[in-house]
Amino acid sequence: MLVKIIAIVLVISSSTLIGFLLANRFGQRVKELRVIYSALKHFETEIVYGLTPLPNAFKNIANRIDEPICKVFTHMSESFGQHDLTTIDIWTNSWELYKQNLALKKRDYDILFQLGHSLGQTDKENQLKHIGISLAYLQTEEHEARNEQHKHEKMYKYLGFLTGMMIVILMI
Amino acid sequence: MWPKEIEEILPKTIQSLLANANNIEKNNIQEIRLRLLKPLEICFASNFSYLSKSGFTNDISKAYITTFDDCKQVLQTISNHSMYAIEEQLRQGYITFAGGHRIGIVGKVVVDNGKIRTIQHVTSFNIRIAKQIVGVATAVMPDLYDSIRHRPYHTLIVSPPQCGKTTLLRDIIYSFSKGMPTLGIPSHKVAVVDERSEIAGSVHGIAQADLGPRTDVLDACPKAEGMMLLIRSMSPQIITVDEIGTAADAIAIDEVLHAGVGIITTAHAFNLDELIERPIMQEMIKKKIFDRYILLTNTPKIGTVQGIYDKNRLKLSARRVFVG
Repeated sequence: MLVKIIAIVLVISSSTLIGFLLANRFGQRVKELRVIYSALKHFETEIVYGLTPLPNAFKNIANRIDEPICKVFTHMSESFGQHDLTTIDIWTNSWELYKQNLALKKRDYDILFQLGHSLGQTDKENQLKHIGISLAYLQTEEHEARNEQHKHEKMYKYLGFLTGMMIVILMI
Repeated sequence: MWPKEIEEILPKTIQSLLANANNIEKNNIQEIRLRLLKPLEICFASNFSYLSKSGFTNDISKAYITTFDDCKQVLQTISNHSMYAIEEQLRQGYITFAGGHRIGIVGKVVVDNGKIRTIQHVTSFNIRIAKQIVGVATAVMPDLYDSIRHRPYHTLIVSPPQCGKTTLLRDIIYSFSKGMPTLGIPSHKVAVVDERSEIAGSVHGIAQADLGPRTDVLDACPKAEGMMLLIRSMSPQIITVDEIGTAADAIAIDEVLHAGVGIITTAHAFNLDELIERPIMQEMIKKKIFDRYILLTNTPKIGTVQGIYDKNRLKLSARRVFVG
């Protein structure tokens, strides 16, 4: 009997946990998008007031934003020392490298990679324009991510618990 | 000395070619010129050659051809991946980088309201290696300091382009800043208005050339405004500027003299007679603003002092001093 109870508790708690983890990804994406948004805002200021070159700008940004995005920016700022890498290579590679730790979707990466093409290549005004476009896209993505979060977050949490219950009932 | 900084901005392909080249000749390089899809040119003091797999060559068929990637990489390195950061310098057509070396740039110019907005599609680079030669001014220093009234003479260095004018000015600044006890010249507070970042070769406002322990550099500031600012803010004993010539400069120099500050400056001309033909300079010479004129020439070699003249334009001595 005791073994049974322990098994029941284990099954329910683990499936609930899985549900929570999946639900968490929605919240995580919103959070990450918001951090990227503020990172790009910081970048805008770096360009306007400091004309800071990319390596230093990214380093400054990394110091001011939260994990895990700050790791991506740190990695970028450290990659600039290598001669044969182009700016776009550095930008794309860094995001690819941390893809596994991030909850972002392909659509989000598309926006970022799009920005990578113009990063550092043009004059101040043009840079600001490109960043502005990316910021606008990111904002829509964030909005959408938030909607999805509202819709699915609770469902995944309940679903986890209920699946656990179902397994238990079937097994008894 | 072959500077490390130069190597760092060159693409790997060119770096490895230079690694094969003769070290002694390498130390004499004055310019490295990259032109898109053209042979890579290396300029020495009096001749030039191309770069091939086996080192320097004059055979154009063996020369290394600059590729599109080379140009892209050089631009990327000097701009530090950030074109917006060098916008202002691009407008001037050159960029100063670590070590005080400069790169001249041409390509397609984007014009806005009749003014250069930026340069796109850069096709030619001219990497000019800056050399600080310590001691070039030693020979002229005794003539630049009034040991009776204990103050530096107001000095104008007159020289055609490429004769070591800035090199001499740099060493004069260093000598006055540090002081030369053996010649009885004390150390002075020196302020430099470096409009074209040429004297100090500043990068992010930090002087790359050693201008002495008591020198303040106002980087990239227009000369006339800069001189006024320095008098107000830094209480210098000597102000130095490069290449004067406009009416505003003349007014500012007047102001400097009234403030009791010494002035050391330069002007482009082949000789004093040619200088006096320029109206603004003529007025300054007639007013006897300058106590000393140093005339430079490039024969027999760069930096030769042809003569030092006093305020009445009389030659101090007929001796020729080698300073390069």
